[in-house]
Amino acid sequence: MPVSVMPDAVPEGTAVPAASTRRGPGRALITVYAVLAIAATARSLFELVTKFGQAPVPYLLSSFAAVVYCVITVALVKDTPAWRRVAFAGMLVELVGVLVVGTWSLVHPETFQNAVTGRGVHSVWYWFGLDYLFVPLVLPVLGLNFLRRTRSSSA
Amino acid sequence: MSTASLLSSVEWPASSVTLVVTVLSLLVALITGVLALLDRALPDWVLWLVGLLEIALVVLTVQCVVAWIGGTAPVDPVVFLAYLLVVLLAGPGTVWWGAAEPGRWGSGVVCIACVVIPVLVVRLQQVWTGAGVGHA
Repeated sequence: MPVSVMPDAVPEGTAVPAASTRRGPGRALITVYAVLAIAATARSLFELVTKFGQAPVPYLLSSFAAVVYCVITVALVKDTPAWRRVAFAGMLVELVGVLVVGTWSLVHPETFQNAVTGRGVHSVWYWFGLDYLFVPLVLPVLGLNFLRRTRSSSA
Repeated sequence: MSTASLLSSVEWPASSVTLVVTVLSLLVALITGVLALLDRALPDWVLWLVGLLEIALVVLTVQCVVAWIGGTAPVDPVVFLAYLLVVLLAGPGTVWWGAAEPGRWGSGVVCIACVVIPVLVVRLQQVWTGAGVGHA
């Protein structure tokens, strides 16, 4: 497999277009977002279909997280200036979401309780993403940083 | 958890191949992780290892299907099949997505997938035996 030698080196003084979100670190980012999108979507579908009434708030929050992950994944794959802005906005929503839901789950654990069994109910962003080894907390920071570093600039 | 622990006496039909899958997957994750850190592209021989991993996953699938036909159904069949589908597609999917990337991140993609596969296999086992389904 040949190693690319920076094919898009540009002479100084020219406008540098934003780097592709499908290449380099972006490709790894898409992989992680796709994993979370599949995991959260499957999880929330299962929760909504089988036991929505038992704990509506955490299950709706899981669905919201699932939608956010799907949007970001699609936006990074689409890789156009407009979709790049969608990905950026999505990651901001993700970061705020995981911080708010994570704090909420610690401060008001009673919201995250199954009305039938009385047991705690996890949601994707419960305890800042505990079920997913806190990847949901770290990922938006890495993602936003990647988009910032690779954005277009005019020198 | 009381009902789940009663149900967890259901036997997982593929324990030896599960060990093979877990060890092989983590080995590939380690190798590709080091390659990515050393700024190295994905070598072709890693794809052979992923191929071996996929064969092990197919063996796991066959053993589950045989046990299922033999009368030991998974506790949660729909969720089990969903996990099985994802874990079977993870290998080919990651090779397709990672091999197209010439730099270190091609190795990175395979590394991520090979960390996720053992987790999926643990969940597969839990869904089959009914252990740990409760909190999901």
